[in-house]
Amino acid sequence: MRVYVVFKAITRNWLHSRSGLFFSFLFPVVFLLIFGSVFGGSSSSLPLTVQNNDVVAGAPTPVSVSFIVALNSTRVLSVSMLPAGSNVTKYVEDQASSFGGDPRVLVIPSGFAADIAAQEPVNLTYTSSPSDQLAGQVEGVVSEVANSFNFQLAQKQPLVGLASVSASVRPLNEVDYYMPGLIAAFMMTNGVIGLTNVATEFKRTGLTKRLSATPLTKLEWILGNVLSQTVLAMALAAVMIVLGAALFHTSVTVDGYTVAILVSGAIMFSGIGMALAGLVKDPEAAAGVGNAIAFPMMFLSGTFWPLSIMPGFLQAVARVLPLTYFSEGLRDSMVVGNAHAALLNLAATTIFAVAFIAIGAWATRWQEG
Amino acid sequence: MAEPVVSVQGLVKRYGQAAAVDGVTLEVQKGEIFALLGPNGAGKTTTVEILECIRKPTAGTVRVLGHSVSDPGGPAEIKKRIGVLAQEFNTLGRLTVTENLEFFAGMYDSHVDVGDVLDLLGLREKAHTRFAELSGGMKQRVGIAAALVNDPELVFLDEPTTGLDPEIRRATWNVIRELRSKGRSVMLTTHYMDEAEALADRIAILVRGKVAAMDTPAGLISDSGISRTLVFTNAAEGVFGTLRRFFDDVSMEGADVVVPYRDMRDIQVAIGAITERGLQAEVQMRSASIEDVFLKLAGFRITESGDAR
Repeated sequence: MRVYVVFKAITRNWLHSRSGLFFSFLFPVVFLLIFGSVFGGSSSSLPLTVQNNDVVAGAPTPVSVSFIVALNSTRVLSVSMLPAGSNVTKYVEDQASSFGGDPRVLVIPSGFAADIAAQEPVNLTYTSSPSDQLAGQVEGVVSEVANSFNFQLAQKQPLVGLASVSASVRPLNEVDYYMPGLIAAFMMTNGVIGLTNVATEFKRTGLTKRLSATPLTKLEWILGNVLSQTVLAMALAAVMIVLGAALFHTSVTVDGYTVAILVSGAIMFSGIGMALAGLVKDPEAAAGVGNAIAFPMMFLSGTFWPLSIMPGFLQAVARVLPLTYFSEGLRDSMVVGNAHAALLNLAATTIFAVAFIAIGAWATRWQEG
Repeated sequence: MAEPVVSVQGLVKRYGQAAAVDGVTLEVQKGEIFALLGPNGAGKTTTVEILECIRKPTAGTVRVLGHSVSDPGGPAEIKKRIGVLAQEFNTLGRLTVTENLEFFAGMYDSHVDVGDVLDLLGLREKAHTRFAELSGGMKQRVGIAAALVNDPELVFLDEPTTGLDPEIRRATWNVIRELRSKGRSVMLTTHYMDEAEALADRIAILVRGKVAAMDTPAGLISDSGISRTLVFTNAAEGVFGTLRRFFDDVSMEGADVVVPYRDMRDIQVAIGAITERGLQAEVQMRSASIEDVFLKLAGFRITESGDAR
């Protein structure tokens, strides 16, 4: 109950603050608008290499060719060809060692057309790198195409017109890819910089001390602040997602995992804010400390680019940063649709959230020594 | 006699080697206004904050409303039943007076109607003004109102009128007296001599962490041994010389001639001697004030801003 009283009062106080509103809400939105207008135009497709081994008399079979055409016509995939019979394993290794290369190879086996004609099951082989965040997405598209292909075959329909499968697949654009990163980055700065400033200001003006002389406990105080920041963070995420969809036609997934990760991340960053406000004794220094933590974290956590392109030791650093798990989790759920990875990252952010709130409770002084 | 609302014995608060509070013993009775009087740094706020359970004592026994501040459950019980005005009260600046008082009221399981404290403090007109837009005096009043939302049995007021203009100070004094008339106990700290003298039933003079004297204002004055004086203003030449024949310790304060007296007879003698010689002067009787008592005990005066001089 007291948590709610604290939540209501400080949220209302915050909503009347022009600078608070600007930095926590409008700035991220303006940033999204600028970012979206820079990247919004280009719709990037996912590269897929196809090796067609279904060759009869030196020419690919018509059925296998129409399958490749179907893959290409999804517009989600940009298909390139690997010569029939070449060494797929070697190709994958070569690709993996080159800059930014995430090899994804689909092999159409020899006898593909013949087996289909004979109503025999036929297996396509899809190879991808385990570190490839978008591999699952590509596999999903291929499987959609294959399903549709089977469906068409069962209905004895002509093979043309397979392009219709694209309707059930989300085309991904640049803003889609960056949306989770932007949301993660601004939720992080709102907690680590914004809430730290707000909470140290309460300490500086003596409000925290005054409240400590009432029945309010310090955990109630911390939770009230965290709740307020969490609700604001959820509102910010909602505004960014809706604006992204309205202006840049993003189509990120928002499901139960997304909401759970957003809530867990918001609590985690608010916890960091309360912990810093408790730990940093000098209110003047708190803003500096918040910035000194937030900005390196933003760039080291793979928020704006894949971790895999960073040097090994920086990747190791990223593995201990809470933002890494939050932005990966958001990307898993919003873009990649990988529920398993999303759950792991959700677990990590939840553990961080509990830990930071505990540190906040330990560091906040409710009785002076 | 009922248990005192505050009972402090041998309270010590040390920061490293320095003792901010150095063996304070005092009691506050139910229904009285008790003043801790002293300069900045005398340990007033430290003492009060220990009583409010927001600062830990180094040594000593401290009981408030029957609970020890050092018992595990003590502070929670005490905090429900006390009201607190901290020095330079501050709250959520962008909320209105009413919203802020509701915020504080929300901290307590039971509280009075916020409208009642608004009326008591004369804050009705400002009820919907944002706290940050109030004058210093009004902010302080909101602070007192916030200290009363839980209908406390004991109210701590730390420097309640510091920095306020005289008119508002007097209005604040009336509010504090009203608390006493409702049976509340009040413990206030101040560096204003007149405030302690005008308000307090009893005063503890605090100097360098120690209680230098503790009594009613009248008791402090009579115990101090400071005599009452006759002051001759606009005195003609010869007044000083004449009085010197009858009194040993005649002195000059600027242009005024000052003679300590013990009783009516001394007054008769002094005035008789002057009128017999046809000397002109205006005479005033001056009794000792808390300020004189403080000067005698502490060896220094306190400036308007509360510093030792």
